[in-house]
Amino acid sequence: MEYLPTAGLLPTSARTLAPLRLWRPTSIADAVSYLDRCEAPVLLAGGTDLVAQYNEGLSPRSLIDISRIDAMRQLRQRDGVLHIGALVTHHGGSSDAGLRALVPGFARAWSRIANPRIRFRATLGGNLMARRTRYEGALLLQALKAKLNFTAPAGTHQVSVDTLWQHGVAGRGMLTGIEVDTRNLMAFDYERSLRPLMTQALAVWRQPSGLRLGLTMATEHLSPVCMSLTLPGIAVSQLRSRAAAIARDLLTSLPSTFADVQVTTDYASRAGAALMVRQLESLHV
Amino acid sequence: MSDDAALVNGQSECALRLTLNGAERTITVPVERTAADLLRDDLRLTGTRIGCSRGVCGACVALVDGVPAATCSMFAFQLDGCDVQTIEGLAQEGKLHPVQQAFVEQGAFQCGYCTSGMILLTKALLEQHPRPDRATITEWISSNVCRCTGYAQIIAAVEQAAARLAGEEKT
Repeated sequence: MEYLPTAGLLPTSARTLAPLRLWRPTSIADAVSYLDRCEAPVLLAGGTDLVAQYNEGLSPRSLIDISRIDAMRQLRQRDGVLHIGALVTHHGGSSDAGLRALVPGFARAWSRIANPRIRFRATLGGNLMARRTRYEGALLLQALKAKLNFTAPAGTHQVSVDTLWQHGVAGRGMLTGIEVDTRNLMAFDYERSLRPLMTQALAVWRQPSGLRLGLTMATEHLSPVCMSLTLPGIAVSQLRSRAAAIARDLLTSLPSTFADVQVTTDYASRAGAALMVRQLESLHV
Repeated sequence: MSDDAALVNGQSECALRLTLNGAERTITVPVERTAADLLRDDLRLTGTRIGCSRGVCGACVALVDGVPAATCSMFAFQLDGCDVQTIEGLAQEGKLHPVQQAFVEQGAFQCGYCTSGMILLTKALLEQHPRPDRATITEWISSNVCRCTGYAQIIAAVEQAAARLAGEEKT
């Protein structure tokens, strides 16, 4: 590198990160153990967000590379319940044949997160744990009522996506996987044509007495909010003809606090209703 | 804790073995070294550019096991065991790769800062989608940032390279 100062150039390594110690567990138990006892640890999964966090002031002393934990790479379904390992990448997950057959709307939505280059490396777990409003994994999983499985030294526990947003990561240990119960899910659609202003996911659930619609909305700056509407005695085939009224009724429950620097509550309500009509009219069941 | 894990954990340096532009290399790096700094500063493969330093712009893209990766957002040790290709490894025996040639012929660059990343991204695209439609090209090229060309010439270069590689281009 001696030629660089001579030429008046600053080598990029002048930005070198503070020294780190590396830990490379191959099991969840080892990873949790390191997380518990290492000095200022941070987890490395796909790594696409970690350097951005460095630029925002993150300064770990220990790097726990969890990419070798095969148990967290698996995507499987049993009796209609999806089990998605936290290390499943956007590319790997969204192109999984089983997932595409079981929840095609989710597979389509997942395949549109980020760009092709990022999708090869970034993981669904990393997307969630970054807790950035502009990342879309949380919205999709909240709309699907996903449960997040954590392992900590004290044991395992399960929380909702909303709990993760509201209360953060502290003390939770490591996210190991995501569970989505699709047994009563009839249709799922994600609308992101207004991104980055706002995006929304529509889920149609079967209930004993009819249908339940869930609409989850987020913006570039706001974490996801969920609204729902029960439609007793209605069949999926009737949603299309009643789309406008259903969308209007559902959007009345949009919280007045759902507003940011670009999107007012009124705009979100009107645009959300228009998008929802489009979603209901093109629903694949 | 497994014995294997106990042996390799807690290290501040890593010895990594990789295939770099077709040649086997063994290198020892500090854990915190980024892949981009390894390529540029240690190995002097300066065709790998540093732009945003946060994985957004794609100027630092290398192909890692055939897949485009932002090396500014990777640690060097993550290249262990990988097949890495940088822009320096693309031309063979003094002859430009068809993607490089198409970029030249279409004038798909002005300042050139993004070009190595764009070319490697295109190579990966054409390996996955040998005859991509325009929507696929646009989606892939949106992975990287060019602030000069407006992308039109880059898309034209991708289309030309695809046709040439598929043996469909008229001469």
